[in-house]
Amino acid sequence: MTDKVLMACRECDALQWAPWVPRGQKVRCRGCGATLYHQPRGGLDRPIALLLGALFLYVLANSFPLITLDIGGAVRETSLVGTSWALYQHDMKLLGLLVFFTSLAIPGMILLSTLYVLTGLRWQLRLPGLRQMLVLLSHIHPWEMADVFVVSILVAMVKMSGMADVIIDAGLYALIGYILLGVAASASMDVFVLWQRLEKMPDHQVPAGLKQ
Amino acid sequence: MKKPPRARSLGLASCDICRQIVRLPNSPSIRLKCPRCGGTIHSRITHSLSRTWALLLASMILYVPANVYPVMKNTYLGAESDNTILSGVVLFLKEGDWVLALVIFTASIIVPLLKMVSLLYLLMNVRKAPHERRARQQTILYRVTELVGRWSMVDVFVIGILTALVQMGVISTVEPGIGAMAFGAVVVLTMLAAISFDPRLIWDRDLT
Repeated sequence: MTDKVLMACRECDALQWAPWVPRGQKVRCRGCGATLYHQPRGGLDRPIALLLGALFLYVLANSFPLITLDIGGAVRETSLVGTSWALYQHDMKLLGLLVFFTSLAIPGMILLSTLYVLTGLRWQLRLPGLRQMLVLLSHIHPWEMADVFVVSILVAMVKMSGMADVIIDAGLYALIGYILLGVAASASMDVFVLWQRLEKMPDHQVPAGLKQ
Repeated sequence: MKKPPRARSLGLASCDICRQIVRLPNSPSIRLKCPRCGGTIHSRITHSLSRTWALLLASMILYVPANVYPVMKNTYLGAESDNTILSGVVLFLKEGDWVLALVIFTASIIVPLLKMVSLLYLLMNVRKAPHERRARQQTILYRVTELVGRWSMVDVFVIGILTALVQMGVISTVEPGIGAMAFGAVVVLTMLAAISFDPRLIWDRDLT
């Protein structure tokens, strides 16, 4: 790989040649000190392993109820999709959709498309749409809120503990595990490094007429 | 150490998505595509300030109904009660649940307010030329604002979870209120406002 990359800082736009550092190191902007990029320690294998684990737990979290409420024998449980469905049914269609996308659909999309991109880069496969996936990822990232959802479940549990018995179900454990693995996976990746790798892939298709 | 030049002053721009350095065209009306990822290149986000202002003002307006109208209607053994965001916090305080009151208070009152105030502060100061140290602080303020924004969704999710769970017929039911809709909109609008703000504008002034 090249030993230097021309970069402009995201924060202050300072143009500089950033050294291509070995694994486990990060490069800071010479103008403002913000991190330009970091070279993850575990290469691509680590995030792939973590995301496969996360995918397994994500499937489990969606297959089982999260919590069960018991008020004097009257029992009711909810799942991830059940929460947005409840809002949707109670005449809050937009809010239900917002909850559906932020707590379930976008986390799932990010999980699958990240795995797809990493697989292509790791085994040098020219999978279709690698570039588009990576673009999509950088757009939808702020809207992933599964971690916020877990905190909300804990808040709701305490809120109801006064008037009912609250039982934690398998889905909640799986969801917490999924989030921990997901956080570890994103800490072991840097999108800029992924773009560099994609560019260095043999036969990487540059859109016609744009090469300088 | 000599300070590095700004990409823009050399007629270059960095792709927002993949960070490829690209030479800007002479005419600003030409839409340039990134050679690596295909995204549109902006030296700065187009109309960043007016966009941020518009989204911020919209969220401030909606913040009023979000707090005035009930976010949740609770029926318990025939007795109905309307809950606003603030009354939820007060309820926890009355029950002596300090930790939870603090979590809710932070997520649903402090975070949205802090976001709006700090975006307002950034928007009003972005044209003034301060010290470099101040510019650095403003950049950090922006990053924190951008990062914590999603946590105000806690309230919306809690309302959803309670609506799904507490449907026990005559014993107790929970229905979402119209305030929840407004609050959800506030969260989305403040997040969009933060995304539209271009932190590079902070450094575009003559720093002393």
